[in-house]
Amino acid sequence: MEIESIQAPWKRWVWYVVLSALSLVVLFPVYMTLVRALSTPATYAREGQPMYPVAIQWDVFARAFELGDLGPKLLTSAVVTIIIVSAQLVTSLLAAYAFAFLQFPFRRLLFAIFMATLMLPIEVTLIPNAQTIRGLDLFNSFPGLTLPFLATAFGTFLIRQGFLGIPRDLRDASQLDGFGHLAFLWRVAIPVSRPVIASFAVIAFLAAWNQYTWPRAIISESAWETIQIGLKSVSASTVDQNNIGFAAAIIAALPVLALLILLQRQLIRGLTAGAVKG
Amino acid sequence: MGGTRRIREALVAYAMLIPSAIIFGAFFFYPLYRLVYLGLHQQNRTGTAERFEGVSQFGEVLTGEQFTEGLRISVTYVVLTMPLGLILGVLLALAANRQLRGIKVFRTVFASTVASSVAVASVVFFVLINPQAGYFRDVGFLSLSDPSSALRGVALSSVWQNLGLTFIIVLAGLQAVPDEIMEAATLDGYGPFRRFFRITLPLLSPTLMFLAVVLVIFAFQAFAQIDILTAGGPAGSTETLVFKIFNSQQPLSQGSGAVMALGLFVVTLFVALAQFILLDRRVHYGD
Amino acid sequence: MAEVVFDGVSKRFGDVVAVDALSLEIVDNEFMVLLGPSGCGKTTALRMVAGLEPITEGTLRIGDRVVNDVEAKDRNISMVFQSYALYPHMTVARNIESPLLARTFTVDGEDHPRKLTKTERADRVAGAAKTLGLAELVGRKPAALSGGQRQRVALARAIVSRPAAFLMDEPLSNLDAKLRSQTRLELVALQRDLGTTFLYVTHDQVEAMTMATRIAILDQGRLQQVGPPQAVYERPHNLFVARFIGSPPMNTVPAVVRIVDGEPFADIGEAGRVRLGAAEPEPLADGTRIILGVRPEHLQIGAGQVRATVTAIEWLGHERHVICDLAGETVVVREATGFGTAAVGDIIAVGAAPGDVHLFDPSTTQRLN
Repeated sequence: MEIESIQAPWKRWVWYVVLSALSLVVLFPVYMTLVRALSTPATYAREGQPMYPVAIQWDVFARAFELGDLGPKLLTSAVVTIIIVSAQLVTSLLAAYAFAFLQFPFRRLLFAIFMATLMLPIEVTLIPNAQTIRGLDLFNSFPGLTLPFLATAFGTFLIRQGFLGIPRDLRDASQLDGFGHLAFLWRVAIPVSRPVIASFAVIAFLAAWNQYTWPRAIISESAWETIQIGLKSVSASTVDQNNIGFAAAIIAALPVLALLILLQRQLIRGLTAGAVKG
Repeated sequence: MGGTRRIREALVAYAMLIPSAIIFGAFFFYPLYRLVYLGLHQQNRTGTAERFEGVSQFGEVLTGEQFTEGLRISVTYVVLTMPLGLILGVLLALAANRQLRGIKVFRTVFASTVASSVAVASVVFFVLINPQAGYFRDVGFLSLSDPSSALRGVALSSVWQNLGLTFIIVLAGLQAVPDEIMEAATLDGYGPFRRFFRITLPLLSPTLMFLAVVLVIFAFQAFAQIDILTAGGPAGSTETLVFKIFNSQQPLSQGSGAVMALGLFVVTLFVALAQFILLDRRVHYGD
Repeated sequence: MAEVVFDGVSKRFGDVVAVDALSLEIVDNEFMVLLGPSGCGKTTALRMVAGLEPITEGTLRIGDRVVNDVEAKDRNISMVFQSYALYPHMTVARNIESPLLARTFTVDGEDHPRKLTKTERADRVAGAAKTLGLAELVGRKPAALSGGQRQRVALARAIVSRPAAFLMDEPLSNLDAKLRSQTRLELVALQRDLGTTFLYVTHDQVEAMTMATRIAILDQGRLQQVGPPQAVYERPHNLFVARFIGSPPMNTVPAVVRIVDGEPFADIGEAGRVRLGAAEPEPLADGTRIILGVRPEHLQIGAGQVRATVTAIEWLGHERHVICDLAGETVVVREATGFGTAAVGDIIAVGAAPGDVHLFDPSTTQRLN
């Protein structure tokens, strides 16, 4: 923390000005998106480049919903996200438990192999995975959208870290209490590690909701589009009414924005887990 | 017997690992093998027949124009987004790392871009720089319609999007600097600049190194922003490696696409490792 | 209510021997303290009784059955951990109840062990909470409790399953000094009321001396001596025990046996010599090297044929410690009353009654008298 002890009051105001200026810069792109979304394209193209909404059309959001068929897209994204996050929680919790609490041959090797998958993002494995999904006839389907993401080494890593922090005495006490592995996982390990698990869930939610490359590769029917790839088609389809596209983008970002404001702490904890030493 | 207990424990462990292992095997490791296989073959247009090409195909593709162009563009993208992203993130974090009434609001604003997906960020920047009606469409430096500047325009959207993440992580790193050290420095007469360069920056370097690697990896994976803002144009000047790989999904081009994917994999791995080693040395000896 | 028997029990971690062929019988209803410095194996031994550590060699019996391969939850024992190991997310009531949830119990009048019903569990929890004065705290979570309260919750959780033996791993070490002495009394009273075997591990000899019916001293995995506190204090079997028990520790000085006019003396070189009593099992020969041990309170200033130089004096209010140099060794004399006029730098005469002198063999460290 910057030392604030003996500060002239005017210094504080300087910082308020600086911070406000920076905030305006950061928010500017979003602000302009909102402005353009609310304006009529014809008017702002014609009258130069005003920074405020021109000829406001308050119903643009409703129209974006209709024209862009955003309802189903939001729903598809929601279902995909819920499936992925739930599956990742289950697979990561189980794997983390095994790595944190159990002894078995090749444990270290298996952990290294699991972590190695972090080096193989979907961008690299795209072609073969798309081929696999096509072969299973799962293009344009929920399994197609979710299968490659039902497990993640990041979750295993993060949750294992949390589990390793559980005091050994607690584990011993559980053993004396007669809790088997699943009972210990459910009754003790998970409740005690709730913060870490919540952080992971927030990040997993973000990643799943914001996915672009994979849905783009395997979705060819507009009925199956997620909201993210829907943005591209919405923008393309209404190019002379691109305020619709802008409104759609805002709609797409809202759920995540709301989530983030509510769960800021969990998000920050999850993001800084590997990064900050000290 | 202690032996059966150990066997039972191992079985339980393997059972718990199987769900993840199946997914990893099917969608991470099998594709790796498959990429090599595809890279060694050439298929016909419909994918019904293939011909073994051998390792020479690897050499051809990796030295061919498609890959080298894609690599050049991807590397340029890294250079455009990573340093700027780091510096801006640090500046924002430094500004917000103080106790003021209402600082939380500013911090939320600075972190907010982490909520945006690449798609949303791309549309948002489309508002600003699209050649027809973008607010900054007259700014030649970022023009999307000019091959020499289009990549810069796209890069700006990534820089903006990464602000939130960089800010959050650097701020956490700054807050981990013990107050006592800063107080001791102030008592020693260090001014703000000296404090920053001699104390804060060295202590922050592990965090910055981590972020640098993350941003580089993000940049190598750039796809959505290209897809939405320029579709690879103008004149293919924004076709990053992933973009090219994405467009190689047809049977005819799967071979070269696979080789490019493996190339991307190796390059990313290599760069991340190199960064790790080089910067890690700097981190340890401070300065 | 049962006994715990170690029969040649060893525990190895790879090449490291933590417990070396321990044979020890803990009888029913006694308060047995396992005492020793860190790393002596006492906690490992305790954990083997609990079933938390598998036994490498030997047999362990609880009651009349061999429990080497019996799981911890089926051994009918309870454990109080050094850090209390309370579940942080559960209330006090739920913490106390936790041993009753998954284990089976043999209820009075029934043949087969079974799970307890909700009412039975609630009754036992209420009983344990009352015994330990926790009735008002049952709804709170551990974070809202003081250290002493948490310890009592840990005790309540141990009582509630009505075990055959209680295992305790340094339960007082996290309490402040005042609370510690109070809790010592409470634990002794508890053991008396429950009439159950207590197996208690500590490195603090004050705890051992004040609480135990018998003390078992361990060093480097090996049992050094076992016996009632007073016996261990008055007649240590080897140098280790002699130096470990007693505060300030026993003074030890190397010496050589000299027979003068048929009487045995210990010759401490220039410092002088001390008359010895009879040695066991056979008298010592002239020229035998020995180590002389005398407790600080048994040394008398002024009487005796040994000379020492005072190097420091510590005043403790009710007593004083006169620290001297005796032929190169540091020796402490405890004066409880009749403080002499010895001052730093003085050369004083010290002596001890032959009955208060302990003799040890320098190479085997075993007691000689």
